[in-house]
Amino acid sequence: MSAEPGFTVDLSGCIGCKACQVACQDQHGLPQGRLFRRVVEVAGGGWTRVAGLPVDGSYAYFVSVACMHCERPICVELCPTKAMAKDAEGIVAVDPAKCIGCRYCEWACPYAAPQYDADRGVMTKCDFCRDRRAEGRGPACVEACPMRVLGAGAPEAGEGSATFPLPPPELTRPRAVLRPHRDTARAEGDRPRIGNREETG
Amino acid sequence: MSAPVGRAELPLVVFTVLGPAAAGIVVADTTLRSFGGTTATAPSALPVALALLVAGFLVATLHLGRPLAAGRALANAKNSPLSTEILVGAAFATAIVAFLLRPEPPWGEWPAAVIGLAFVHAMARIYRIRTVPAWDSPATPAAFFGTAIALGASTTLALGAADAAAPALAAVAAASALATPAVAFLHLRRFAVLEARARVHRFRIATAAAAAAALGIGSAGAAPAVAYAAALALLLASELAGRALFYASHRRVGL
Repeated sequence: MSAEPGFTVDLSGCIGCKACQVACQDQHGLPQGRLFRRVVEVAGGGWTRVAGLPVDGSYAYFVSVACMHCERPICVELCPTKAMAKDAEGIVAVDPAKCIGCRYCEWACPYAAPQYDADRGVMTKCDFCRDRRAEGRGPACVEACPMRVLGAGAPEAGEGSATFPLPPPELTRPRAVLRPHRDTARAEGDRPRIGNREETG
Repeated sequence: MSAPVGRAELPLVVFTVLGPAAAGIVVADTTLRSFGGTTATAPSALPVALALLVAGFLVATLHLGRPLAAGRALANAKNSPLSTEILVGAAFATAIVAFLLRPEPPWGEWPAAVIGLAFVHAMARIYRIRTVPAWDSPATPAAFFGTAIALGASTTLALGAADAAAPALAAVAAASALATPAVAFLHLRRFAVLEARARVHRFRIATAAAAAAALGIGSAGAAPAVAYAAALALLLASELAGRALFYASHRRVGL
């Protein structure tokens, strides 16, 4: 395990309650539509007939995603003002005083982590609840998870698998571990869909 | 997930057409003067190039959340292609101004022309983002250099700065006017944007074809001033539509 913090998610136990998403919004005072953490609903498969009888082949799982605080953060690489930076602990955060709102990071991040604050004209994102950690507490999303499947650990970069709808980890080397759901393998050979796009942005 | 690129990028559509156009004008003017394609008394197109470049930069700031802090964008020239583009763009403007202030430097307009080409390259490099497959392709610099050639040549023709080389320049402009949308079509058809923006795509193709026809009419000697002005207007519309399609093709891998 590395010393740099990151999220761990056991997708096999996530029930899609979105307590993490709501706790994050509440902690950061985020308006509707701007999410630092989102729970994506993945659905696939369908009903087929076997020997004339209907058989349920559908599946669904949830993927709770926030900033992966990547080892190769493309947002940091591209930011023209150095507002997006990795701090001494390895947490990727944005300095609103330096940000000019060019949204270059938003174009590039495959986890949709940087979120534009139209009122202030700057980018915002998950900072691993820096304020709470200064008080010795964990991130709000982690503490809100009723299933205790969301955690804050120190995972190795690139440990996570390419679970749909997440990108191949080699692109940015995410510092997060997603333990797969039993149906993530089925999604690999299927054409799954995201069921809540209107909610997750 | 929905793409973050939309109406907010309209200033960038304008900037990424005017910027390469400015570079193309300087390259066309430099080439004509260096190889005797025009007379010394022909009007210089460089003030027009400078005006387009400055206008482009001013319009580009409109897409920023904090336009007044735009100067901060130079802070990461070592890593960020966006910082590099602004630095090279500023050097390009400086080179044009230097030539206009002292029109007989040892190397003529060539320093401005070379920096102009570097500016187009730097602009295209911004979009070579490894998480955006539609942009991370050689088709991106092809599109930006295509804009530079088509608009640079047609602006020079419309300004009457080409003299005897006008037919050759018109042929270059027409070839680029047709080749640029063709390359974009072959690339973008893999990304479902052309079906979604079919009207914009048709408009782009129609205006490019009409511009090529106007260039042909002009080079044949029929009312060249009117024909070249019409070709420039049509090409400008075509390139703006093409760039709008380019931005609309943005889709990240992942979320």
